[in-house]
Amino acid sequence: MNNFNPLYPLNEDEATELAGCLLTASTIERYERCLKNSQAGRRINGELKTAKGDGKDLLRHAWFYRARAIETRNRSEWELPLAVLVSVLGDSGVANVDRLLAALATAQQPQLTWIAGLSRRILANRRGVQLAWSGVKEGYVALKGVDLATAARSVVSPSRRRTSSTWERRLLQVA
Amino acid sequence: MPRPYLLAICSASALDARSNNFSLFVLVEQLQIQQAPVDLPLEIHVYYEFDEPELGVPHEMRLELVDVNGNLAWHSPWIALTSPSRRHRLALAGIQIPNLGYFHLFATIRTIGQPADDAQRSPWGWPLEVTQAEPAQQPG
Repeated sequence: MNNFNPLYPLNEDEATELAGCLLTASTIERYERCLKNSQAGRRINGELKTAKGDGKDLLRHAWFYRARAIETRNRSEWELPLAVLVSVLGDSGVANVDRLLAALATAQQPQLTWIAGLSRRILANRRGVQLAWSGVKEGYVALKGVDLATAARSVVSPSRRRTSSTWERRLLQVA
Repeated sequence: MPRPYLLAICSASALDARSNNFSLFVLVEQLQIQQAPVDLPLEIHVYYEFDEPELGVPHEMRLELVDVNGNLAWHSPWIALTSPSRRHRLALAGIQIPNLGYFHLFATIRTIGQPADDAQRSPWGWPLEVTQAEPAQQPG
């Protein structure tokens, strides 16, 4: 985290815009809408989707701002980047985002009430991902190989796999 | 009980870290194998939809390969899942093919700590036809 901007990834104008909107929000729906419509939210989301932003780095910053927000007894400027990062990362598939959302959703500190509500809403609506093994040892070892194709071939070959059913493609008519 | 909305066998998949979307590659309904039993590094995707009261409740699921006579040919170990989200997607790796035949792959889920008869099998299964591969021809 070699960044000297105290509210990274927000710039000053974005932080000002967000502060005005978030701190005057009277409902969680409005709070969430502020984030979705904010210049910062759109910019960071765009950067993440075009690979200009690093999801892991943003997640590290989100944990950092969570710690700062917990240390500060009242609502503070730390809420601004934290809220934006939760909003952007919550809809992404960046690994381990669920842990951040779960930690924030259960936060008891009064200064984190809004972030907790936001996290609960995102958690309820996002699609969770769980990668697991079904307990077939040989397959597990094969997939662990560095060269997946070679490792897979060694188990499957000379087997042949295919989708065999008939299929059709139709253009849906929109009224 | 959580409801499955997708169960599929595929060769590989990719999860887009930016959009949280899955892409599945080479859906597999038919296999030709040289010998059985065999363990194959295929991927099985099982996606569940949870009701609000089921969020955060520990569940466990397993895969069940059932032959045309309804006999359980293979099953995976129980895999724990506790979902904070309405939609929970599992990507599992590895399936055992015990013998040649026509199978359906089901996903069965149950609540942890409940009686065994609490388990519910998915109402539909993914078809998997397993046949013998032709022997490789000798050169010359």
